[in-house]
Amino acid sequence: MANAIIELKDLVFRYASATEPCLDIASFRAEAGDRVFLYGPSGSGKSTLLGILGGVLAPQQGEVTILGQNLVTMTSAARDRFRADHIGFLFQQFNLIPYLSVFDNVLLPCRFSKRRMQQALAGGATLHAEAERLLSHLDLGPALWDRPVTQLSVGQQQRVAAARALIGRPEIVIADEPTSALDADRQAAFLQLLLRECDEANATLLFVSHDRRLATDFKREINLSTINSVSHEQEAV
Amino acid sequence: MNHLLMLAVRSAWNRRLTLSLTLIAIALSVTMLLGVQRVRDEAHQGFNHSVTGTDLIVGARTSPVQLMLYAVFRIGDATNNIRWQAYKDISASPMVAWTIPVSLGDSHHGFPVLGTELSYFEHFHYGDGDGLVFREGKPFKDTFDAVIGSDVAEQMGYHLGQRIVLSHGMGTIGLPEHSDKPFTVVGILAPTGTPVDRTVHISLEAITAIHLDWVGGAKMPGFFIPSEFVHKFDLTPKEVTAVLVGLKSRVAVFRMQRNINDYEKEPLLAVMPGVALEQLWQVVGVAEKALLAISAMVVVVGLSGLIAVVLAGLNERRRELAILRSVGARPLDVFLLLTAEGLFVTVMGVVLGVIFLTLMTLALGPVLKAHYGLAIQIKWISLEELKLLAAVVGVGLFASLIPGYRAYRLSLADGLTPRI
Repeated sequence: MANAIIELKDLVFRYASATEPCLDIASFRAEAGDRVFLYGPSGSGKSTLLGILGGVLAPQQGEVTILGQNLVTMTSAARDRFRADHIGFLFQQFNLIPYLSVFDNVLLPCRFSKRRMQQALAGGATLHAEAERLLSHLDLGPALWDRPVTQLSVGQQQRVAAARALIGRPEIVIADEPTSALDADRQAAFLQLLLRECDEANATLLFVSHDRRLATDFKREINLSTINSVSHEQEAV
Repeated sequence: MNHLLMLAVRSAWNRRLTLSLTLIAIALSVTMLLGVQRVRDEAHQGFNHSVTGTDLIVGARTSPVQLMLYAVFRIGDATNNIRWQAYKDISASPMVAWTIPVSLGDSHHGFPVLGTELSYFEHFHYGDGDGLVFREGKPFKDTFDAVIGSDVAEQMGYHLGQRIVLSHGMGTIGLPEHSDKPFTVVGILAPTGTPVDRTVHISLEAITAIHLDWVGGAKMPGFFIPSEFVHKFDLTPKEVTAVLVGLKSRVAVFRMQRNINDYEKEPLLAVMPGVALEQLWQVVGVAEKALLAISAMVVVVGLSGLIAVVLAGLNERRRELAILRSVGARPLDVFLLLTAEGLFVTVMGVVLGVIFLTLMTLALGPVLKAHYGLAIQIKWISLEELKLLAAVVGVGLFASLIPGYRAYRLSLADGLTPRI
């Protein structure tokens, strides 16, 4: 059995303002190099689960073990640092800080995490060189590098965001509906790029989407509604 | 920490259009605050430096502040004069080292005319004890000689030998003129930064001479005495407006003051310049404090505008805050980021305010000096002003905690997925 990268056990989460828990997962596991497609229709507790994996939310019960470390026993500041060091996030859209350049956006994780910075420097001669390498791999040519990020197309913005998620080789990449703002052709192309880069970076990919058609490229598909024993209409407050 | 500061500055720069208006509001309010403080400082310093070494100022009975104002600063009018005999009696006191009689009431193009004796040029001191210095020429000797202050010379473009005509009364327009008895400029004083610079000095005899054919503030019709005949009359003054007194020993000042206040032949008032000035500051202090308070209020209004703008922009930045959280920012970082942004704009406002003040001093300084005798100079920020500026930054920092805290709460609630 391969190493568990993410392991959830008897997880129960309830928002402070709610009376009923919105997440109750007996067991979930992702292994090194895994490509997990997490199917999450709205109301399935998707955002809550991402918050817990990112260390932004703390469950009332159960264990959240990532890379062998139990997030539940950490302080919130330690979880923030852990997230910065080990997890790259990629969101639906508006992924970039509008007032930063392409490079500053890509290098943002290196500002908050020394570990990511050192690993980025191990990959390239300078941080800038490493960012250039990633951008080029993601089909973003030098012509686009000096543009204000607000002038890039949505697809280009998502690729900059992917470079940001991948810089400094985090062990885990969590992508939350990163393709939903793209048209069908570009969805597939973007997905291929992302999978390829995760392979190269040796990262575990957790891909969350409500669109099952994308699942064909993944080794594992998990339906969040099935593993979450709380049935929902409303997701969160 | 550094990267947060960088982010705060970039974020502020990104919203420079909305922020620039509040920035200007803060800058102008700082200019006002600093300007009020500076004018106040300069006024205090100017007044305090206008007369030194004079132990007592004597005039007709009135309020000490008023006597001080008209006798030294030529502000307002004398309510009454004192008789020549009283002046002679004071001068004759064994405690008195010197006296300077002062006779006011006439003017020249808005500059006050002061009738006095030669003791003025010898004993009048200002600043840290500096005496009067002639830039050109010499004291008046003949009856129709005049010695002018440096501002008079500069603004009117007068040189030695210039013939000038005095006007009866104070003011600039519509005054009857002593055109029949013109004066000649024989001396120009070096600048002092005191009311002396704006004064035309003539002898007491000249004051009597130009009023020989005047009765009750107007020329007597059909009665005319040409300049060359004035010496046929007794030119001993009948009255003077005030007397500056220097004592042989300062120890005697209270005794001399009491003697003068108890003078039997007419009601007199003797004041110590320092005491009178102190009273003046007490009166003016209320207005000064009110002005300063209003300026402080304007600063608060400016800062409120800043906070309102930052708060209003916060909601549309929830996505941005979530991104920062996702790359590892703590809620505390988000708090610091927003607080730093407000602080950055405040500091910029203060810097800009100081620049505005400097520019305004450059532009308005000469006007203030010409019209109000206030010499506002461009100078380094004083300790007192630095305290004011620090207070502005302090209040700005305090106010910036509000958007900081709001962002902190938002980012805690939103986590990685803002609900917009």
